[in-house]
Amino acid sequence: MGDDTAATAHDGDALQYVQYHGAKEETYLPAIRQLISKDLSEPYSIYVYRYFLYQWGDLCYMALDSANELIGVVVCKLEPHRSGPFRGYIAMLAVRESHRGQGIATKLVCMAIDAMADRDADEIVLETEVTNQASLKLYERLGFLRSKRLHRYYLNGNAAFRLILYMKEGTALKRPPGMEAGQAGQMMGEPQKMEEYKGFPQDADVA
Amino acid sequence: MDNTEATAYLSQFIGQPLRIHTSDGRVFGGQMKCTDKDRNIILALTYEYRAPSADVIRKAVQESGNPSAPVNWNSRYVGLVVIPGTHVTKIEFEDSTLSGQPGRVVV
Amino acid sequence: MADPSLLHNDATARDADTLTASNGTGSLHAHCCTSFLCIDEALGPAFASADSSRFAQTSLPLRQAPRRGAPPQIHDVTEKFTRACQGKSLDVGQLVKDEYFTLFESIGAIEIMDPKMDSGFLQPGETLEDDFDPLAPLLPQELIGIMDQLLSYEMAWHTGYPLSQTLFTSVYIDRLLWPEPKTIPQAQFYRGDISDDKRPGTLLDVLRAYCLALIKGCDYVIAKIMARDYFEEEDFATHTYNRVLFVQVPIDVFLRELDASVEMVEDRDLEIDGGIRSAIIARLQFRKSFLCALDPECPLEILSNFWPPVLPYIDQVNDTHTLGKTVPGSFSTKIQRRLASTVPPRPIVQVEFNDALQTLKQLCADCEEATRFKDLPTDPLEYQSFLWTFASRQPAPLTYSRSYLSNILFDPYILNAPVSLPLEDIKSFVFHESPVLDPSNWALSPPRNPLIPKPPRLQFALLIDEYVERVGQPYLDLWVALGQNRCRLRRMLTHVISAWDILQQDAVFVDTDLIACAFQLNISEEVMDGPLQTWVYIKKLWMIERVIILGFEQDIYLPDEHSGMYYFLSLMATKRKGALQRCVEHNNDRTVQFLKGSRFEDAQNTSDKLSFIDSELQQATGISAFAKALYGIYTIASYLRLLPSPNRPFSTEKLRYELRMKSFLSLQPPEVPPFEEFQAALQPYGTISDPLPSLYDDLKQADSKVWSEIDASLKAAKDAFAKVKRYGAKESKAGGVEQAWNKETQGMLASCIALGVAIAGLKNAVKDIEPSSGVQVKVEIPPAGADKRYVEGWIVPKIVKE
Repeated sequence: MGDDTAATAHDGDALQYVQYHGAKEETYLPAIRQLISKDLSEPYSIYVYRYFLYQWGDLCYMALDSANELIGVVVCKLEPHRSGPFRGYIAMLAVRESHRGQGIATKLVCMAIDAMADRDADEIVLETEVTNQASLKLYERLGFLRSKRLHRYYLNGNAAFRLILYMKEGTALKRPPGMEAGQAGQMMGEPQKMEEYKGFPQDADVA
Repeated sequence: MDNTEATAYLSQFIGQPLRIHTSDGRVFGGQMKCTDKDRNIILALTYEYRAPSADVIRKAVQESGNPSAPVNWNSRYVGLVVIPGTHVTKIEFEDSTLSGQPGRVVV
Repeated sequence: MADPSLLHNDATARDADTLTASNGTGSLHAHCCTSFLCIDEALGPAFASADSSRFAQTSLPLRQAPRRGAPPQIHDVTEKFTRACQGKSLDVGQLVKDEYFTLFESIGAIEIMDPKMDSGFLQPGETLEDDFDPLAPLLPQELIGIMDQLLSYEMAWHTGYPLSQTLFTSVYIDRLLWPEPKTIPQAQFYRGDISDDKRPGTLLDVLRAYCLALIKGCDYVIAKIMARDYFEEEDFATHTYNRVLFVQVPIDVFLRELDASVEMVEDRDLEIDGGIRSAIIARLQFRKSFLCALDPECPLEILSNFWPPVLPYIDQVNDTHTLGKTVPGSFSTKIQRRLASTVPPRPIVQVEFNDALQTLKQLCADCEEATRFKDLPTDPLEYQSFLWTFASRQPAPLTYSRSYLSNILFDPYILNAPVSLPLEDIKSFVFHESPVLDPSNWALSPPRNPLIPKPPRLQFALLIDEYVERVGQPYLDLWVALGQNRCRLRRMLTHVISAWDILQQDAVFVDTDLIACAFQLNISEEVMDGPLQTWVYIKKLWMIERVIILGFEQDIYLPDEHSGMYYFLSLMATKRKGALQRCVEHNNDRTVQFLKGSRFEDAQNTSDKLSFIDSELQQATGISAFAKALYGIYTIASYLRLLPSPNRPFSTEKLRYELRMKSFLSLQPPEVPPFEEFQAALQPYGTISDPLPSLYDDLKQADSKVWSEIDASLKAAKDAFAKVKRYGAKESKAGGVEQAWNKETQGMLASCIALGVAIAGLKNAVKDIEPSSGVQVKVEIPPAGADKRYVEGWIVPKIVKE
């Protein structure tokens, strides 16, 4: 305590919010895996984490307590989407059960959105279970809208909402560079996009 | 081994058939795609092999009266897998190139 | 993923190396062939040895399998590999990987030894197999219990769970299918020879017949679903895990097995309680009738004969379910460990028998309803009403039922109707008794000399043929979209709309040519202005309206977006109303022309056709007006802060407008109102946070402009829907689905009444409002799918006193 990163007086324990860095892999990756696998029903191998953290470690933010224990984490990616926009994707969000309801998840998501905005994201998307009210509320408070319902999206058979936040005007009309109308067929051979990979439900603060 | 040497040695196995034995006695045969410092190994096009259970062997022996009666190993396709380094007990390289052939893996 | 069996080549080199396995009873050496690409799955010869005394370690001679080519050499590289990875060799985070292998691909990998991912993982002390003996004699009650549980899992599979979590957890099914039997007599709960004392008794034989027919039914279901142009992975799992579901065996084999079983059970020598006896027979009869109904070879004309007989058996199964006794050991999640699997293990799905029976009844009812499609009049508009209504059934029809309907729809008998289906559709709107479609136009032949212009009547025929040809694919795409699950229907419609948008642009040119021909023939007044583009436009606008309504139905829009989306819906329906109005006027003009020319029969025919167009017009009018009234009340509710309105620090109104309009932004003519216009419509009294003082004055007066507009819209909606109701289903070309159509129309009228109540409640709550005071009511938004809305896509708010 006494650390000037301590937030408000309401916090029982001062939390630090830090950006992930590859050099900290040995310390943080096991903790991130543990936190996320505890909270989310969908299982991920270590390479799922590597996929995100090696390429977009700077879009991963962690909440640590004064003992440097991991309390919350958000994992994202950012790359051009085949439909045109430069798309950010919030892949995972988890907060330790004992620390929910304190706005930690919101703070982590805000940091991730700011980071993606700095890197010129056109839009940010994610999926969440249609029944996950806490998660829906969290994102919708920030400005996300539901764009579609995805039938039986998760392995457990539950449906999802795709949520989208536009960051810039003109995003709706963006097309991939060099693509004319009618050329969409050429994109079919592409590897499956992350958004179509079954998984990545959002956990969230119980609001 | 320094990093260059280690990288060169491990790179030889990329795309090659490996059999990885795991701590629970199963064997995974597939093509190596990737590994890391922790010896987590990704295999593609993988089959899982599992020894028949003692019961099955006992039955086979009883029924045939032959103490070395043939019993099937169970195998099945499992596709793309990650085998965590902590569970790897043995790594075997399945070499089908002839000795002296160029491009041969140096084991 | 490619079929793994393609990787097998059992005739090639087999290596006999030693693998060591250990288990609870001690370790043993087993010698096996593991050249991993060369083993016939689960059948690769292997040699285990066991000494007769408790499996002590024993080494045994190896039997060498025949070899071709050089055997691979096996090198143990454990030590050097490990050294290369660990210590100071590789850096943290450094990957040694195939340059073509991306981390993206790696996320699909299953992690071995992780209980959540590795279906082959055994907990300490857990055994690979269960010791359930499928040859152990069964009690009659147990037979019933197993049959009913199988039925439950079959239905769970129908709702989307994979076979590995449902039917394939049955030890009996597993034994029948694996190792793969070459013939039906081989498909037993055992393989090979068996001593007479172990031979299964009558009840096991009966169970076998039941299981065989069940498996064949699954094969038929998969065949039907895969036969569709389009089905979605998320709906239904067609994976059979390398098991072959008697694909080649004809249906009569299974029917014979079932008949033989019925005979065995009927046999009085079988000592069994009478009630139980008939319960078993009912299950066999159910299976038989159900299998017949699923038979994909069933001819179209007699399809409808097959579903009604299933129902009484379902009732009998239901009534006798309590006679059954479960045999828990006969289902095991462990079977997943032997199924080829590239996905994490999943628990066995838990299904209540009652729910399963409901699903089954729904399946039969939906399929029976689907068979009524073939009795529809040959009219694409009747088809469309049927497809839309079928897709709207509650609960939503299962994948199989939807496939069943599309297989009927895409039957050559239906599609190769003697009339062009798209042309019939066009005719209903814009070409009644029109010279453009005069059959004699098609009888003309082109002039020999290509330099001589074609006669205008022939050009009518050529222009129409060419355009109808172009319409074909987008037209079918609309039908395909109507066969998808509800979520996908909405998404697919947005794509179909784009294709129809291009059709509309094409139509502009064809219309110009048509009018030119009519002018040459001096019959301009007999041809409607822009007929084809009017027709496409009506269809396209209808689809846009449906996308928005489906959005409401699926809870896509948040409460504070309702005013904007109903406003947009009202705009679209108003445009459709305008286009339909022109069709009505043209129809009236034609009637008058015929009367003037004393062509009384033609006049009568034309006038008769007016009912359909006018019914469509009233429908569009109703939607436009009702959406406008809802837009009005939601706008007021927003100003009164009665709707949750997140502060949205990362978003702006303009960004959200753009997101909502995305699918429609590039349409021609432009359908999306410019942002400023949209915003002005939603904020007639200035910003929501700081409204103009006149808002309160207007709200207080029940006859102010804002209220009277809402009242007028609601009244217009009621009148229009009442007219639609008077026309009835048949005139509206929904005669094939009259009941559902009546219900929907009634639902729209009921929604109007509910909105009237809400308006009155809100008016009352604001009659003394001041800028500083709040209102003593709250707005309740009825949730989707809970039977709280008269029509799911129409969200009428409830005003509740606080």
